[in-house]
Amino acid sequence: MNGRIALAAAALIFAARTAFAEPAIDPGLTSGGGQIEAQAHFGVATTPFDVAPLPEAKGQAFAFLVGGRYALSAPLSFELRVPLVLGSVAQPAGSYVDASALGNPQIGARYRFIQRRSGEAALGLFGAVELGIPLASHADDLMPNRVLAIADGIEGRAHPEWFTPGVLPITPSGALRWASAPWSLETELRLPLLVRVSEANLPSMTTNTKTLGFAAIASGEARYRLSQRLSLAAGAHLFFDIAPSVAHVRDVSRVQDFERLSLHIHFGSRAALVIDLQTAIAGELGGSMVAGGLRGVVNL
Amino acid sequence: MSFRFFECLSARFSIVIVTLLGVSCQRYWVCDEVDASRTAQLPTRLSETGLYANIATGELASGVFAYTPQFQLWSDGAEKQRWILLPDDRPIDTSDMDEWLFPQGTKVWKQFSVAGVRVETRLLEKRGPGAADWLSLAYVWSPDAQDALEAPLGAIDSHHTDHDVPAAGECLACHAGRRSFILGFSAIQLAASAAADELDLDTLVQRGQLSNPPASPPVVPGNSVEVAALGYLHANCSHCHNQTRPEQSGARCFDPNSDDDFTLKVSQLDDVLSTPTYRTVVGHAVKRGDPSDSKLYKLVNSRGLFRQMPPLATEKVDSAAVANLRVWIEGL
Repeated sequence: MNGRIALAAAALIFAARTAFAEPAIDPGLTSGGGQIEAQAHFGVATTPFDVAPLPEAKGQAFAFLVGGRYALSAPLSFELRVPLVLGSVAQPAGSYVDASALGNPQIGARYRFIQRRSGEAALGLFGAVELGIPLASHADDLMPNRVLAIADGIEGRAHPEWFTPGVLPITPSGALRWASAPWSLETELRLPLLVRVSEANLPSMTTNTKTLGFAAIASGEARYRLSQRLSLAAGAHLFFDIAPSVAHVRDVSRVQDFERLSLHIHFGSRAALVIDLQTAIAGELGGSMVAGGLRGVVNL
Repeated sequence: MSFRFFECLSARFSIVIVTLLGVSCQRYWVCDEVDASRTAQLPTRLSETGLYANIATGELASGVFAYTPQFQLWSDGAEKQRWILLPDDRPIDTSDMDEWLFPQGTKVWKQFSVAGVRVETRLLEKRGPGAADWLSLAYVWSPDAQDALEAPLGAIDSHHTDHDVPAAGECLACHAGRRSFILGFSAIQLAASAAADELDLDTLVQRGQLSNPPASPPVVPGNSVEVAALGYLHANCSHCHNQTRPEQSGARCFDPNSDDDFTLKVSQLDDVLSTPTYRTVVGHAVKRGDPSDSKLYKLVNSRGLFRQMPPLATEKVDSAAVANLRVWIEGL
């Protein structure tokens, strides 16, 4: 037991979760169980950036997320997620500068309110709250700020709590999961609230930071089990920019769509690898974002 | 789903592939950032840089002269004005007539206007004796056009135009490709007679500002089409595509590392065949008589990341230059 706790603790130190459509690939952690999750998405994006002379952030980036969960009891688990971004940021005239940035690590608790089973079908209702540690990188040259914005674009603008520097994020969420082999459906609503704690090096003359930012992200995913080892999933989310944490410097669409196709490869009940291909059709990212990558989960 | 979506998707996938390849090879389009402390040595306002005696009236400071290179870098049709301040007591080292070395204290400005709107003025200033001791910074004009403020990070679509102001580090992408650092102020570029109030090669010789004055102004060989083609390639391509590029200590940045050389050299102007462009490019990137199968023509005639030449600071095709290049290639 102590060994499992130690492993889970190590996972928490190094770690976080899958990016999208919580709960994760296998939410059914038993009491005392742990899970390590990692994600690496690579993509290109041109995203809004709210500094007047630089109204967009453009480039390519690897958006990494490592994390872990530990189930204190069957319905209650704790999570830690750490986003990290490596990328190349386009300069106005067309050259690129390599940049890296840490996002805001998230500490969270997740509770399963309802778990119903009826024959082959199962229904789960989950609630969660995450608290972000405002460690996201920022600098005078705005390179970390911009590479974080690019990563935010790669993830469909759905995780401002990860990629917004200078804020303390609080993110309540709720998810509903229904499964009846070979299908499973999942919906989630997340409501990140961003409390401004610093200006994050944004130039005060050309940037208008807000004390509070607020967004809503509604997501859904349908998954079909093709075989013992393979599942195919299609997911989408809508991001609603209700109260931007920084006033937009140009007209920016307040709604952003995001679509993802995933192939899940299962390794028994302990591990899964997911191959993602994701893009956006409309909104600010429409035609200017495409990404892909891997997610992995290992139950300890 | 719009056509734009598929068009962009195609372009973006090419970026993904190129970038993934870049993990294991040099990515020439990635430049080092300029040390902010160097940029901070320059004034924050254009009015403090020494260009104007009176910025409100546009009166130039003493010793500042306008000049116009005979072959110009395409800047998406922006109107450009250029000025230079040369120290009185030290001439330009012209012992290498193709790579002038400017004395410490030299300042060069280039102003960009789009549709009559003054957008930015760039400054290059030589602060030390070494060939690389240049500082660079762009100044973006205030909406009331009373002064311009430093913009070390550059600006996108400045003044609601399509014009992008380069970040300070981006100046080096082109200028650091030549030992002289200044690209448009050379024997070749100033050989044509200038307006009365502008500097040209003859004026510089008369003023004793060249350490080794040429016997006569160099003349680019060929007919008008050939001269225009060679001049365009010299002004738009040779700062990267040349064989005398200074050594770089850091990562490659817009260093094509190829045998192509588009430079016009004073010592190699006997006839068109002796120019580096004919010797290294014609028959290679240029297929004689066939523009549509010439890599050079296709790159100059297109825009899009990794699909265009020049790769920096342009989003629109120079249609006049493309038309001339077409005639030139068809006649080869």
